[in-house]
Amino acid sequence: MKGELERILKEAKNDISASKDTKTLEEQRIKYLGKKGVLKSILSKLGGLSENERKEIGKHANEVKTQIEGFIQTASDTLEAVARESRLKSGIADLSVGTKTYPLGFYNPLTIVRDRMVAIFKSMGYSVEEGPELEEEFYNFEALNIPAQHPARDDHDSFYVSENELLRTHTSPVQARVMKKRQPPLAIVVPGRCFRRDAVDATHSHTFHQMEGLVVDTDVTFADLKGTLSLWARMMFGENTRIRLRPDFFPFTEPSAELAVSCWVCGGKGCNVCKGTGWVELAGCGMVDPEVFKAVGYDADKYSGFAFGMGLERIAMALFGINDIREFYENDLRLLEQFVK
Amino acid sequence: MLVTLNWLKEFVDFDLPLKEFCDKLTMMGLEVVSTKTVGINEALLSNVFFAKITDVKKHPKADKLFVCKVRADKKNYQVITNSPNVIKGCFIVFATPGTTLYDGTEIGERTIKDEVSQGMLLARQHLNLEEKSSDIWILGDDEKTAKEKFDVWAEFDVVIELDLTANRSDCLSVIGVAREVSAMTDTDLIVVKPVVQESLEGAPSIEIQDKNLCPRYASRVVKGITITQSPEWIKRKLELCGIRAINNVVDATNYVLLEYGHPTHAFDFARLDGGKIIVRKAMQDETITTLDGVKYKLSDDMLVIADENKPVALAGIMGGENSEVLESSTELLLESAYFEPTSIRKTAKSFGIRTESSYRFERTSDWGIPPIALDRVAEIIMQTTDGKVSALTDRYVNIFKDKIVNIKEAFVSSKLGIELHLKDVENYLKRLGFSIMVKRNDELEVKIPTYRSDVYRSIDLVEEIARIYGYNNIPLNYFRPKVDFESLIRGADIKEKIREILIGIGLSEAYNFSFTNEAGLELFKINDKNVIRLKNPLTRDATILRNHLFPGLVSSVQYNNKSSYRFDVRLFELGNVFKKLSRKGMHSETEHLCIAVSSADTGYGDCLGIVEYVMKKLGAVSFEVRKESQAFLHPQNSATIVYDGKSIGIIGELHPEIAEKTEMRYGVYIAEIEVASLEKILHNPVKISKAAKFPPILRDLSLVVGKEVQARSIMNYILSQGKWVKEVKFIDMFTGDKIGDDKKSITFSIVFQNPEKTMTDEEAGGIMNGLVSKIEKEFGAKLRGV
Repeated sequence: MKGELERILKEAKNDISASKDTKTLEEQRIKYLGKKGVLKSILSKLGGLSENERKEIGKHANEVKTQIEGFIQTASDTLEAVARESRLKSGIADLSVGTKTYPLGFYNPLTIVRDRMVAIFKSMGYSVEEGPELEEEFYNFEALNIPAQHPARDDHDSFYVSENELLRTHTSPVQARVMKKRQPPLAIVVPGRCFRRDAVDATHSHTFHQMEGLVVDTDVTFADLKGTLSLWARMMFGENTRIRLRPDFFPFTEPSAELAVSCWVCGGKGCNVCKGTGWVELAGCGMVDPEVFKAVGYDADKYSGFAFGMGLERIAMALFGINDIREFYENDLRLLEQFVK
Repeated sequence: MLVTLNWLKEFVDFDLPLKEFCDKLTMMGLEVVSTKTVGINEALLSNVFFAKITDVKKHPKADKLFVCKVRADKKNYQVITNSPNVIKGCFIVFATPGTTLYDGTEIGERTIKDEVSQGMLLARQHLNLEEKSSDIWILGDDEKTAKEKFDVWAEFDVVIELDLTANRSDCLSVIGVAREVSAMTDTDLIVVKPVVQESLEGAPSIEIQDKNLCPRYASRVVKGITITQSPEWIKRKLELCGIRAINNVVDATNYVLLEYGHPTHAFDFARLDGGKIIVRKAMQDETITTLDGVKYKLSDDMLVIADENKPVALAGIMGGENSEVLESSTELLLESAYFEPTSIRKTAKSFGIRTESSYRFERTSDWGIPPIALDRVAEIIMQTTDGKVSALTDRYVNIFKDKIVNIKEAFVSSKLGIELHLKDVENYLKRLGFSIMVKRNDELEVKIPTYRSDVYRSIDLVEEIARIYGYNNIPLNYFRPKVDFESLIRGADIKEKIREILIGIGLSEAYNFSFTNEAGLELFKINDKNVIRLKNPLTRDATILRNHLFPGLVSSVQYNNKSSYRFDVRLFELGNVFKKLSRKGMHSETEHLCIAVSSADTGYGDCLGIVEYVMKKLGAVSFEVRKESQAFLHPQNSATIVYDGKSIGIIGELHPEIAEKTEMRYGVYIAEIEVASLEKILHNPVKISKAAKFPPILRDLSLVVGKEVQARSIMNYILSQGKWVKEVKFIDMFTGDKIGDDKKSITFSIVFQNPEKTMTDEEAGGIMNGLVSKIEKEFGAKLRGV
């Protein structure tokens, strides 16, 4: 019987060390140490032996068992080491492509300009206001010092829906609405959609977007307006951007000015974007006319302020090299797909 | 408006390089939009000559060509031309070989069918004297008049095009612009007062009946004149400034219009009944035929110039045919008046006409100038014809007063943000022609000239001062507004948030026009009862304000299918829609979010998935989807989105009929939701609770329910059952014979969790059993056997 155990030990050693994977190793474990394993069946035959013999064989059998367990452990460790080794050696066949892709969404270029401008003015402490697109004539014109029969109305050919309601021709009516509601100090920007009764072509659209700015306080000056617009231009088009103002006319500002910024493409040398002038005209601006303050019930002697308005399409066209204003309203994915951020 | 450089120099002496001059003028507020060099400039001076054709013969080898001998600059040339009008002995303008013309043409010497052609006979267009010439420029055969004509027309000049703002009516003339140049260059303006010899007895009879609409009317009668052509120098100036020369009288009024900016009119005096002028309102339905042959029916708020019997001019807008100066005319009545601007504008606008005259009057003309402009017209006419001029009648209503405006030193500084001394202010204002009436320590009393109707307040003077000081010399101040708490704490911008969410999951943002039309309503099955129509649409495709966003987006999907070959389209739009409200005259303007998705593998579930993602990202815990039909959606696949008991939008499959008509390749799934409702969700405060430490227990629940039962209602119901239900997920759903035609089977997975201790299987089982019996009761559901 002792010899039997020695034989089992020897066989087990061979079988176990010959196991090439964990599955065969497990089979060997079951074969030798399992409930119905070789060792158990040997021990079941101990019944016919004397107590001393039983003791001795039992002891011996336990030693064999421990040894076999040792073989298994060693084999297992080896197998694991090999497996680990081979796992580290083998990798994904191609690391350059993913198996699951997520669809990309794109911004509208007008939104990009709007968001950039809003962010700039928010950083300066302005808040965002909005107003109705279908507007009362009073806010669109009278409150802004544009009485009926004023020649300035020539620039504001409007779509009417009733005697005194029209689609706003600029975002400026929101100035009047906010001032009627709140007291100074005010610092707001108003992005929004506007309408003029213009035939649509490459440079004209009956629908367009503006962003209006308004500041009212006790001693706001023209120099403050210039500083604000310069800061905006530098944040929008680059640190080295310069601004230029020339006198213009808007009934709701006095003095009024047209703002041009130095061309960010050529730096002022002259190119396609600035049509060779070195400057790109982008905004109308000025000091709030006292008549506007009177119309909303502000004390025109106490308060002063400035206002400005830019066309988002115009800026987007210049910034992104879009030549036809109609492209903003076609929603052609071939254009939109370029505006990832 | 057009002016010429030389004409300006008649009134102000300046010498600046053209570009610098134009830039400075622009920076004064008179925007130069273009310049055009005309006549013989320095470069052409040594190449372009007044020349004589000394011989003409037919080209021996070409039927339509002529060989001319030209004597120019004391040399002889031979030129080939195709102009049949060249005759021996006539004078022309000749460019020698080596000339480069304005349009870039280089003139050389070449041979045409064996005959040498040196140089070129010029047409007026070659000297930029007109847009397009039909023939070469023939100056006639009398050397003296030909040379005079040449000297006048070929003179070097620059035509400057200005874009003037609506307030600067004072600059709608050469003198007006010259006045600005004088202020700009600090050089005196020299305007010689016109002189008229009054040699005719009497003065015109003028009766102003409506003194509000016509506060001033100056007039003279001229008799014994001959209608003839104007001298070349008048014709040239008129034509360079865009007005066609007609005859010496009409040209004189146009000349003064350009020179002084004041419109005047000449009537044939012989055709005025009663020999008098009455300025009155029209009688209702009275008619007048104007110079252009158009007949207008007048209303009684319109101002006319009439004689004893009939209207003879639409005041300030256009003269009448019945009193027009004809070639046979010998007597004139000249008019130079001031008309009330709004009345002129109203009348001109109601007839849809705009003339040089109405344009100036409606922008407010100079009330001080009528007699001067009148005399200037008479003076010019008398330079071209014999005749006698009457005394002046100047009907003048005393409603005009000199405008006096006070301006304080501190006021200027406080508006512009610069330190300016009163003596600088004084100097600037004087340069602009303003008179200082009184000078105090810190204040000036300024008299505003009559031509500056736009200046009447101190703030207007500030702008004038700033213009002279130079807008670009005012410093920059990096200004920061005061902190405005109320608006700064208002929170996130809902639209920015929505864009971020949707773009983040692969949708792109569209912008569509806010208009539709009847055909659009019909195509998209939109009820037209509450739509708002434009009173004055411009085109047929935009007559109605949109009351939904989806038609625009569906059209964008269609556009991308057809024009961009994109069949996987995921778009959204944020925009306002308009509806009439039942209360008369009221309307609503609401902001909507619309989503449209269409592709080979996109279905209703994808669209709802997007909506759910948006709602949850904005902070909604749950919402309902109620089956409800919409005319423009698939009758079955159409639902209302309900949040907090309120409908906030719709979702569904675009009606297959619409999809067919718009030739969609795949079904289009749309959702349209009110932004205000989404904003409310966003602004709901989020409650943060402690992370639950104990392990959750997961149970699947399969139910058989009636087909009409919406799974989301059951999910919402489960969620509302007690605090231990942590999460409910929809797993799957199927229909089929096995469970009955009118039934469907839905499986959910429910997560239970007790925040205080580990939940046992038994506890979870207990809750589950309770839940099942409640659901069975609530929804008529049966637990599905496994």
